[in-house]
Amino acid sequence: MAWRQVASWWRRLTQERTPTDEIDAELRFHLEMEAERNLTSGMEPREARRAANRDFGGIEQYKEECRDQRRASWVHSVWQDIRYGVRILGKAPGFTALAVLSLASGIGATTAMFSVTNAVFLRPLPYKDADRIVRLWEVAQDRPDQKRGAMVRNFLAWKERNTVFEDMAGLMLDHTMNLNSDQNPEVLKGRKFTPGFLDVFGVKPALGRPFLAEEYDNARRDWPLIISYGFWERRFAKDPNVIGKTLPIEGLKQPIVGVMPKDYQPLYWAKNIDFWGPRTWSGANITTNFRWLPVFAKLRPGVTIEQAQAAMSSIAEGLAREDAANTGWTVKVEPLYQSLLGFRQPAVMPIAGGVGLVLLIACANVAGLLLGRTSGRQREIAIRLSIGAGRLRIARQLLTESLLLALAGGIAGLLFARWFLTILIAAAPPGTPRLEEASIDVRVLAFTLAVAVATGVLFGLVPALTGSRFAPGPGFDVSARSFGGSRQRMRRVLVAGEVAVAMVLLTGAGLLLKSFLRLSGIDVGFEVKDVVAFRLKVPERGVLQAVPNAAGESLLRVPEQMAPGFERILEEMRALPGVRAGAIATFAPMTGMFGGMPFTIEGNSGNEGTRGSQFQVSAGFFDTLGVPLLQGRDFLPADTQGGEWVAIINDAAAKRYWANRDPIGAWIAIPGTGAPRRYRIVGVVRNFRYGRVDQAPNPTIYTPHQQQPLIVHSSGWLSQVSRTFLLRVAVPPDKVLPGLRAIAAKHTGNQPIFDVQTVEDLQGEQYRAPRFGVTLVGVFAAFGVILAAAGVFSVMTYAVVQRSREIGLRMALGAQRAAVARMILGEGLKVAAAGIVLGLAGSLAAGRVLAKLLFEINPQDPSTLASVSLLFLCVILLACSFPVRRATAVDPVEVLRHE
Amino acid sequence: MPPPQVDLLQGTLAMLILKTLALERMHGFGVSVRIRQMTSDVLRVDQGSLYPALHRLERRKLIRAEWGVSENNRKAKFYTLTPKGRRCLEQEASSWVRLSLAVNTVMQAE
Repeated sequence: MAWRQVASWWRRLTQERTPTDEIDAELRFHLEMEAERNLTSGMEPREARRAANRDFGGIEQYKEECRDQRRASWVHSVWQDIRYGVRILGKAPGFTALAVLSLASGIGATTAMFSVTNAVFLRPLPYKDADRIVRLWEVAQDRPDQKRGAMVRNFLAWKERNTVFEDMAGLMLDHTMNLNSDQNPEVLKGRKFTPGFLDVFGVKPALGRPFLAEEYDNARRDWPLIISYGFWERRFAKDPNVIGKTLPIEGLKQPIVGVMPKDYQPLYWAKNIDFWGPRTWSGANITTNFRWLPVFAKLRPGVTIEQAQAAMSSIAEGLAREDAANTGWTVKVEPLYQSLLGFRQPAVMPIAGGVGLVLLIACANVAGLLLGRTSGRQREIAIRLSIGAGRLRIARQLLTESLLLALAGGIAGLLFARWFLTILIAAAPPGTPRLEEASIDVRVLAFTLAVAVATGVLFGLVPALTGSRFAPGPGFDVSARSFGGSRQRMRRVLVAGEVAVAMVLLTGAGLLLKSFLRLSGIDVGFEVKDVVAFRLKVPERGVLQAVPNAAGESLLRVPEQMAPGFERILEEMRALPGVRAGAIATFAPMTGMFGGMPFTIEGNSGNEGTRGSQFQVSAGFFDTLGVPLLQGRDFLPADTQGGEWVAIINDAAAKRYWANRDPIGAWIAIPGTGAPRRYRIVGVVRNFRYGRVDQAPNPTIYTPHQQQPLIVHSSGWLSQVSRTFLLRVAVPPDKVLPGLRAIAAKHTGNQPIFDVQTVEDLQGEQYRAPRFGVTLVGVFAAFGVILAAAGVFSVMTYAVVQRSREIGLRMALGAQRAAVARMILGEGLKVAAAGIVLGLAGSLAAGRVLAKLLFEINPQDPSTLASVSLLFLCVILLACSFPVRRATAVDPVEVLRHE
Repeated sequence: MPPPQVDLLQGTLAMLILKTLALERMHGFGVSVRIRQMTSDVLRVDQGSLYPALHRLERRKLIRAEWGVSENNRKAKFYTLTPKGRRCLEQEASSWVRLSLAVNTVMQAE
């Protein structure tokens, strides 16, 4: 039954409107009536019928005519349109090629951008039920935008008291351990989590099992590991018997109990995570007030985020009442998506905008081309109209041609998009999550189709409507060429628009370029070249001691032998041939800036707001970096644990806090866990940008790293047992590396050095993002300029060709070639002027959008605007030069003869 | 002997059909009879032109068709004027008046 319905539907759709039987019936009725009339007027019956038939004429012929008159079915006529369109486009290969290429570039760029946006933002997060996973932060009520990790005992309280979460867990990021091996020691990067983590994210190990409850035991030294798939591949070659094997880590053997699935994405898209371990808390860590732990939780089904937020806020209030350290603090519940991707979005806007503009220019170009062609097709259209084609039918035909162009452009654009995407992925700055997964998949294809159709309608609608508006009346001369009027004007408007948009793109690129140049021209204040940085870590285990402090808190402490150990290593490294100078610091350079932490100046009445960044360095640090000492002295080897506690400040601190006095000899106090420590200032150094290139140096305080209070924070990052070594070398770094490795191994029992990089490379990393932005927008701008110039060229050329008769006349009447040239040029300049003025307005608006990305550049920078305007003027003059020459080359005799 | 046939232009035939249907709903045969009647046999509509014209008008939605039963109980297709058809008829009628006046003026010139 259904089949019959489908068949009849299909028949109705594709066949003629009025079935033949109906016509037969109608005609038969007429014949019978006619025969009857003949009868009543006296004819014989047979004669009556014959007369009727005769009068009627050829029935079949008539039926044929009727059939021709019937409206062919919709599908049939669309197919006709398509075939006709293809033929027409094939007849003008130059035009078709140009149009398709323009569209391909615009649609291709848009597709590539969408693919990136899709891969990075639109796809769901790779965790089960990701929309129910949240991250919990602690925020101070007076500073709600500064999110902090959780205090350990607060985390435990949240977990115990809440009713809105299915599960909650903490995750410790950045845990490094040294894998011992004679042949291939390695530094492993991993994380530790608390019970429930795997449940929150819905992860089951691909091999083995999750941790058992009793394995979450702090006292246990040889805690089990779940290794990552990549590590399993790399180190064990996917050995299926890996479960139960042990890894020799810092003197202990740690068993492997599981392997993570291949598609598990470590949070925050960290690469090179090798292992996960269990973590729980006892004793010391529960008393610390440090807010550092990342906490994740999964909402119970049916619970909304708002409900969870409300519940946690009230729990936070309870905690604030019970615990003085929580006064003024509350909890923020943040969806996982926000946590992982939220901050990236602003950067995408300008790029997406730029791509959209290129597409717009391409559309305007093709619309102009089509308008030009429509003018040329007046004759054909007039004829079709006069033989009875409806206006709508003609418009539909023209629109079909536009859509065909757009679809062809879309297909070509896909090829272009693949190429463009490869480049984007390769050149993009690091740290953009999921970028490598951008590809042309089904969703992207659907998007491309939609864009192609939309652009087809966009640029095809106007030519289709204007092309068919034309209705010839009696006595009309089809060959008259004066109809271009309004269409030409529209083309000029389009071209002016293209120029404006291209100007906006170029201004954007110019601003970004200036910003980038300024950024790369900054003097960082120290010698970046020829410095190698690396980290060295000494084993934590068996080394840390639990030590009660004055307040009765139990702290973990690094024994005194450790710091001198680092110094000894440094001494030996300095002595290597090829090494000119060396120093130790707690952070590597060019890896980010740390905000100021409060300190107090003794003897100062008003101490609010005295903040300074704090670094711990060795003697020789300033010397190694080439930073001059302005006053006082550098640290000496004698400034060790036992000696007087000294500090060096930078010029910014000196000027800000000791404006009229000599800071040398002043005492400052730095708070920490326990009583504040007092330091005497012994030197002042010049400002330099250690952490970030684009931020002016804060007031900074340097203290000797050996005099560091011996507290280990469990977050690993600030662990006192790893140090960054900075060595100034006179030879290529690879030459000294083996020697450095040997020294490190000797002193630390085979621990490797890691994160080896030259400071120059680290600095280069900071420029990758701005450089990428400049290149990208620059490419768009180049496209835009070329397309706009092509548009100007084609409009002007066409105008000249159309007006060759007029030009010939003028010349015949005595106009000089120069006057003709001036006339044509004048028209071109009018278009240019309109475009440039519009473009300036647009550029001012665009500047505001880009303002966030610009470094110390005024978004309305007049010199950029002026140079871009001038450039466009030249480009347009160039584009007009050929049409002008062609105009002056018109031979009046030749032209008039053709009339 | 049949009176001399007058050739009707396509548009004029359409106008006549519309006018006929404006007076009354009828089938195709009825239209041709009525026109002959009204013009006293001067205009005889050739059936080969009538039905195509009717279908054209139907397509342009100026008239509406439906099957019904004729006065002698036969199945026939009846046509009615639509509002759009009525408007079109008025336009055509006034154009025709202007046209015929103009032609007359020229023909009467000495």
